[in-house]
Amino acid sequence: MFAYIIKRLLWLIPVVIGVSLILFGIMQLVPGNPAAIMLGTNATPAAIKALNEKFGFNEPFHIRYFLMLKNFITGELDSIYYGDEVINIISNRLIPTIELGLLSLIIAVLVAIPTGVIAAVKKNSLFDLISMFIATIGISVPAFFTGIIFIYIFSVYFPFFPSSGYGGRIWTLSGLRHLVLPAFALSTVMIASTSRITRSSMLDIMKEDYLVTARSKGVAEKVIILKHAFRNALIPIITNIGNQLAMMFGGAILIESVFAWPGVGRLAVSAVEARDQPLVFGSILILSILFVLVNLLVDIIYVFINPQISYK
Amino acid sequence: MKKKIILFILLVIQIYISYQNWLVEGKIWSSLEYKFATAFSVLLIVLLLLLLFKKSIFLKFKENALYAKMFKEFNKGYGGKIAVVMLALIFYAAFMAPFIAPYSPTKIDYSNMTYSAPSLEHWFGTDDFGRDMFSRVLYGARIALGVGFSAVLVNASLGVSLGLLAGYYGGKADMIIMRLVEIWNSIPFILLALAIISALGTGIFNIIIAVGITGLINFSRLTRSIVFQIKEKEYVTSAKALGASDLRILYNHILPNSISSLIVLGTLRIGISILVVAGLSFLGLGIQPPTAAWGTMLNRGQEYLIQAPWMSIFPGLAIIITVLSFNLLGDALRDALDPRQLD
Amino acid sequence: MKNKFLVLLLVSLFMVSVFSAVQAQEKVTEEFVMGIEDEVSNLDPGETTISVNERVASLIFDGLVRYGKANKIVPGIAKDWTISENEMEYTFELREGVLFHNGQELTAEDVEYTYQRILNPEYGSGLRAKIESIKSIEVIDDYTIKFTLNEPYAPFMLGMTFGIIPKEYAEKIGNEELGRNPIGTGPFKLEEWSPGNQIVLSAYQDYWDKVPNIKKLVIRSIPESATQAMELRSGGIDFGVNLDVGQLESFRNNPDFKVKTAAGAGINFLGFNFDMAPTNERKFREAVLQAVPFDQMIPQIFGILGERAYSMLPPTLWPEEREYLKENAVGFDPEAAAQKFEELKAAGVIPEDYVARVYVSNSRPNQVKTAEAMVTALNQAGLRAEVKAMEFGTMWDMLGRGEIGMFFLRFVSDPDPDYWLYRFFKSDGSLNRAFYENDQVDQWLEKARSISNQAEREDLYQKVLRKVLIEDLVFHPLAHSNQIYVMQDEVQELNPGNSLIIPLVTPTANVYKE
Repeated sequence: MFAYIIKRLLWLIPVVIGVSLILFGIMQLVPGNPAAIMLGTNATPAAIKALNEKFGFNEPFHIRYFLMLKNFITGELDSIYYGDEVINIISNRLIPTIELGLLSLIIAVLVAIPTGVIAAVKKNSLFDLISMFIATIGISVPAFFTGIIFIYIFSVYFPFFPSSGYGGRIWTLSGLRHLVLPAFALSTVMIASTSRITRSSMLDIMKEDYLVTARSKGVAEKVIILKHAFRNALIPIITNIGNQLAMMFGGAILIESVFAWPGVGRLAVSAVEARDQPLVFGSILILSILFVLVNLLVDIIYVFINPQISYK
Repeated sequence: MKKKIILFILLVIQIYISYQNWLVEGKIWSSLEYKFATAFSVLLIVLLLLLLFKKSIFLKFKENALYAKMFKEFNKGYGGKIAVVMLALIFYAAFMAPFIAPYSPTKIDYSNMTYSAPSLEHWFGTDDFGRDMFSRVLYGARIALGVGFSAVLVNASLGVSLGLLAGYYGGKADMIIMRLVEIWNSIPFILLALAIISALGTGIFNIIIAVGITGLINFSRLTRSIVFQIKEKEYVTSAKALGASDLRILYNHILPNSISSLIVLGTLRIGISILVVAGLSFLGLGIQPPTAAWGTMLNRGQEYLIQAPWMSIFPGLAIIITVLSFNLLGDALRDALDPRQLD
Repeated sequence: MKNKFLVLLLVSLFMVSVFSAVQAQEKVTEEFVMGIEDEVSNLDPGETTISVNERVASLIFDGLVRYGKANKIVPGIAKDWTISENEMEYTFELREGVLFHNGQELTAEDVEYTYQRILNPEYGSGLRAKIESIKSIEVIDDYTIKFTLNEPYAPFMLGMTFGIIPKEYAEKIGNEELGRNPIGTGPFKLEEWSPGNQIVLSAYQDYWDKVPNIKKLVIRSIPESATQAMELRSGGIDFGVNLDVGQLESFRNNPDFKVKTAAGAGINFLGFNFDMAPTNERKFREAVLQAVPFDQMIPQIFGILGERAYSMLPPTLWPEEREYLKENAVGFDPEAAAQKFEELKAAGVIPEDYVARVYVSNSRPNQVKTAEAMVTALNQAGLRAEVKAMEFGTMWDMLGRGEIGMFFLRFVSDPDPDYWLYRFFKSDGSLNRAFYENDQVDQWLEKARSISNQAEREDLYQKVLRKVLIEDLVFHPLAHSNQIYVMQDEVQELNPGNSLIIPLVTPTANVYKE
């Protein structure tokens, strides 16, 4: 297990190199000169030239790539727009992003799995129909629209929560209150898809022979469902959560914009807009690493749940 | 009998609409959108006529055992049926928009550029330029379906080719291709699409490319795993032994066997593509105005959410219903085609 | 009788003073939250060419002079100044006892350091262009400083509004750190900066002018205008600056909110490329302008956010030329336009497969809407056209390379015509994105910046405006963008007026909540 984790962590190295090359390549194609954008309509050619030299944009491609990668790893990469080290800027935003992502994940699991299990057990009941109907709609709504509607309902119409912004760390009351709406908005897609998968895999498992045998032996229904069926149904559920993570990372970027959340996703979007190449490079790279790590986490949980699989 | 009456009514409606447009208003062949609508209309009329008077030619399908089984499976739940009806309506709207939209989707009355609530005259109200929302939503179906299908086509052709190569050749090729796809996948797709559109510029074609080349992993992983399963089958090994070329084996044996799973995945991906395009509109990089596109309309509607909620509700509903239908269809197809049994 | 009158006067004076004292106490506002449209990235007053940075920095830093009522220059840290006969020497007399937030007193040394730093080309400040004419800076004593120019430069005084930084502190911590831990002499000092989220400022109790009523100022960056509107509604912010027309409408008829507008300094305009066919044809440009009912569209699209413009210069700025420009502007005439397009097509000026692309920045919703309506009108007049809404960065780059035929831009600058016209219409002007070249115009512009006789300058600028806007149709002004403030009803004394600052503490106002 330990060796497996090390191996997966080593996998980060090619990811960093690959992603950075892709990003760097795309950023070369993107028209727009960061200095010109930074100076805006007030720029003079001389000022643009000075800034370009300051940031070394006149060097050839490969030199700049290695310079950027080296500086990123050593933490010396400077953002153009912020005039600060990329590492500093990102580390400020990383915690809000992780908080948002984790809470959404937790909400999704806590809401979706019980819903799915109950829906499966009481198949074709009113609860089943309604919850699955809502879930199907849930995966069909654009994330930013959910966000705006949430703000309107839960902050303006019924003033329960603050509309936007970051209120502090998650363990403070203000922080938690600010986090609730964006986290729920972000988790809708995950809730919807996870509860659907939970239901269908529970239904599949409950048809299996060994459960029928257990039932005929007189094992209590509750025990059958929770101990046998659910445990086996968890594997496809976790696979699905892993697959949904990419969607969630994408959604988080939109949600962060809607809720003025100071996260890495919003940072990356504004970095692309400002053509702040070092920051685009840094922020997207960090998001990619985060993505790989979360996937690793899902895989580890996978092993714990399914002892038959062992990684060597 | 009941079925026949319904078909007959549909036929009459379709002929009436065509008559109105072709003969009264002279919209037949003058522009691309009319060409599409005319062709679609003719096709529909022929289909309805055949269903009414010469149903026997459809029997062949029904007699096919595989088809019959699939049909039965598909009809089990409500989801699939609802999806088919909804999608039929959406497709109808998409093709027939120039014939059935009561107003032009782009024309502006410059003396009265303001929104108005839904009324008998404007069923979905008008937007802040005074344009009829109903017409715009109808026209929007064309963009949504067009972009959704094309993006998935790009996505599938790239993903499937990579998956085929990886699965068929296996070993090092497999490892390298799949690792590259994984690396590609670890960049959040919205950001990737954003960067690509920034690089290429806006425009429908560029949006299709940007959405099409993100998220390749789904298609390639699926294809690869199917190829792995089929490769070991006897008929493939024997074909190989007989000296069939790689391309031939891929084309003759592997592709046909994976098609049903690919259709299911493709159906689900269309919904996702429509959502991604809407998300890009939110970031200001969607379909360019004045083209009526749902994502752009929804984003514009946000500004008027309080005073003119219909400006966001109707395009929003259109997106939700379309994506929902594709998801339901995908689910139903999954049950019907049952890709897990590959024999 | 006389005594009685005196007593009455004294009593009333006393009462007034007591009353105002009471009132003054009531004005103290513990916390004031405002929303801005972008994220503050750097508060170094020498690097603040980004609008939000500049505005927030204006709360922390003070300049030698500042903007007063109607954007007139009034004394700031400098209590007085003299300008020599030949208009090349400016001598400023500083106030004594002006303290930086760290308790140090501001002296002429700090002023010299501030300006030398910006002038240093290696520092690469975007503000440098405004003060390039400085030949030397001389510290005469602690409270007197003299600037000598190379040549007379009429808009020089506007460069004296730059925020003064403390020399000792700045040298110690360096430029980068200064942008994050700014120390100035302004009415507010930085308390806490949570990047991407909010900036917390507190009132500076030793401020040399009036101490702010607002004790704690929270500046939150909320990029989505829809979110900002929701925040105002839910009471999350007291004051917002970034709302679109649709949202503004819903606040205007709401008694819980005040919507205040002021003629802003920005101009939205349509530009043509003179280096590219067919936009280099005057007939084509005229046909485009005739095809689109700008007069009808603009008021409906911009609403209170803008006012139909006929001049490139804001209404608050001289010369007064609007009437002439309005009367002689190209009017709406779709038939004439359609006919011209036909003729141009027949003559081969408009190629067979030509699609007129109107470029616009996607961060300006009103411009996108105008482009949308314009394209619709062009299509109706028989010219195939489409909107290209893109990120400003991409568009700006393409503009610089001359790849764009028709474009919308918005421009804001300081109140002197030179800042506007010279950059746009001089052959080598830094913003001459039309690639317009005209010797006569060049001469007028050169001359106008070197003299300071107001009447003569007005005359020259009038000539320039008539030539470029009426005769040559280089740009077509669309709308002056108004400055709109939306605030909760209890906010007092907050008035828009100058888009370069946040007017919380100005010579004429000291904002508070009731």
